[in-house]
Amino acid sequence: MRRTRRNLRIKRSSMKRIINKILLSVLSAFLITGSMYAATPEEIEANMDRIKLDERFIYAENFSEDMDTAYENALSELIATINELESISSVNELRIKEKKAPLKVETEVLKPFVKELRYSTGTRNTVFLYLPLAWIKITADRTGVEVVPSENDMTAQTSPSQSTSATDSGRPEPVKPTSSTQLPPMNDILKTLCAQDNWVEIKGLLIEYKNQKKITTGTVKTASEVPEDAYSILLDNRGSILAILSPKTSGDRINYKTNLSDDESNHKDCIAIIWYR
Amino acid sequence: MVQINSVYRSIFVIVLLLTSLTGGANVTFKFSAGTISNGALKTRMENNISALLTEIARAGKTGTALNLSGISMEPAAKTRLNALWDDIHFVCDKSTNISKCLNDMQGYQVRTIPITMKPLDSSYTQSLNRELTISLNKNGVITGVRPAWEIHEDVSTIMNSGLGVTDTRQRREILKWVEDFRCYYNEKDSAALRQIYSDDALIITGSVVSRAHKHGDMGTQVVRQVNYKVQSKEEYLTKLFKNVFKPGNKINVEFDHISVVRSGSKENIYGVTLHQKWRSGSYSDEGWLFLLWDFNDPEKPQIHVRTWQPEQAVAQDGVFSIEDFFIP
Repeated sequence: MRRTRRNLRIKRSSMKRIINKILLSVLSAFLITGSMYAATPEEIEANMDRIKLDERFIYAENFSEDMDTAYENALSELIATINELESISSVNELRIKEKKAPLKVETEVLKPFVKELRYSTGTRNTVFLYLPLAWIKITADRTGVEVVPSENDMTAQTSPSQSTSATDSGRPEPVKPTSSTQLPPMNDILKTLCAQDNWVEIKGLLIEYKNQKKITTGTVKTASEVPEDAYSILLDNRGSILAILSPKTSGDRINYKTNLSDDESNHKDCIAIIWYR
Repeated sequence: MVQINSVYRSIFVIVLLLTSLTGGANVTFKFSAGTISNGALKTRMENNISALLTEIARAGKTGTALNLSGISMEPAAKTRLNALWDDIHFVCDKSTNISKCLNDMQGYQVRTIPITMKPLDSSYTQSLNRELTISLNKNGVITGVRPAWEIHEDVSTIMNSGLGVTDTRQRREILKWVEDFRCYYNEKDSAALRQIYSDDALIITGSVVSRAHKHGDMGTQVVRQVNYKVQSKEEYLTKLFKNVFKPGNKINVEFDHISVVRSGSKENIYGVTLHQKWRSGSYSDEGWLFLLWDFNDPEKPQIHVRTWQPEQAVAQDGVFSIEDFFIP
């Protein structure tokens, strides 16, 4: 009897060990497959979502049954997104009104700098292209104005987890002017313009003053090409106004926004809208 | 007893793991960074779209009707979505969706929400992997929900041809209205069609007539001739509503090509060319549709000209274009 009970206890504990081993195997297999399920496509999507919520980047994504088609469509959409950036679209509105060719986005120039994430799930292929906003620079040449990646940022890190001072605020950091100069009294036009912060606000005012024949507006230039006798409004690549500069007198310009002497050379990466009284 | 309890405990853990991996039913939506500045409106729209997508996920999964009562949506938009849902269901692919807030002339648009179509019958012939487009007015109320164009290449070309932000927004608006226009036929929305065609709209329909000509000893030669029939808006719509929009007659209109040309002389006039596949009951045809759109009133764009040509007519005469019509 005692031997039977002992045998029974041994059998029960062996059974228990076997059952627990089976359950552990099933659980482990599930965990492994679970981790595989939450693997590559979801990790890539999580990375995409991080970039989408990071205002330092512009992006485009496309889904297609064909990966190459998804890439081409995403690239087209990225270019359309760049064209709609406030700094570019607002400049283009002005250029179109002046019957000039709009800014160009050279696809082949941008392509090497565009970063890519992609994955496939069944018949759906996803391509996600992104670019740091600070990389978009507007340059001028003899034929017109075009949009190119900034040479200064060609080696910039693009990981969303890293940041640089240039990309944190999305604006290039100007060199701070060093001296203070007595300002001549500002007229009403300058007071009103200085009260605005972005291109959208100031654009309407410039058109109104032009219609009232209080000013004449010149062409869009880079900051380095502002004529000495012109006023200029300097914008960053988001259309925010960084400076409103006076004509150059005695070698100096005044920034009406800061009441300090300033120069266009302190704002190399900016667009300049020039105007005359 | 102790062994049984530990077995049950292990099974419970496995079941818990299973349910956590399959995920919950809520679908959330957020706007991409920097695409909308009005914080309160942004939150309102995100919550509204999240509620809509969650309801779509629920109804798509269970195969039931949509309950749009708690969603801020125009009545006409609810009617159109319900009409679409009667024909086909779909589910969102992702539980978290992040998209840009795009501007158009009437408010905002959200695109690239991946969905999988769940056809209710064999009449659906398009791709199962689609994207959802949601339109909202300036107050954040949903004004339209529709699967987006499948012809991405054409759409990209159209959007990239935009000259300046106003033109780009109008092109986006055109795509939205043309998507709606297609749905008006599928949903037999006679009121919407009556509104979108201008009162003096010109409707031109081409048809190919084959005639046999005898050439003496050389036998008979078949000559194809294109005839163009001109109708007024009332004549066209009356025949459409009476003969095509009858109860029980299912209509399926698809566009598999689109191109947009802006008038060189009139800023808000666009010519839109579409390749149309039409199925209505037992009748089907394919041909080229040209629409002359007037966006002078962005709240109520109007079609002034609608032409339809079968393939053979196009081969002979070319497709109608904006240059063929005088715009005063």
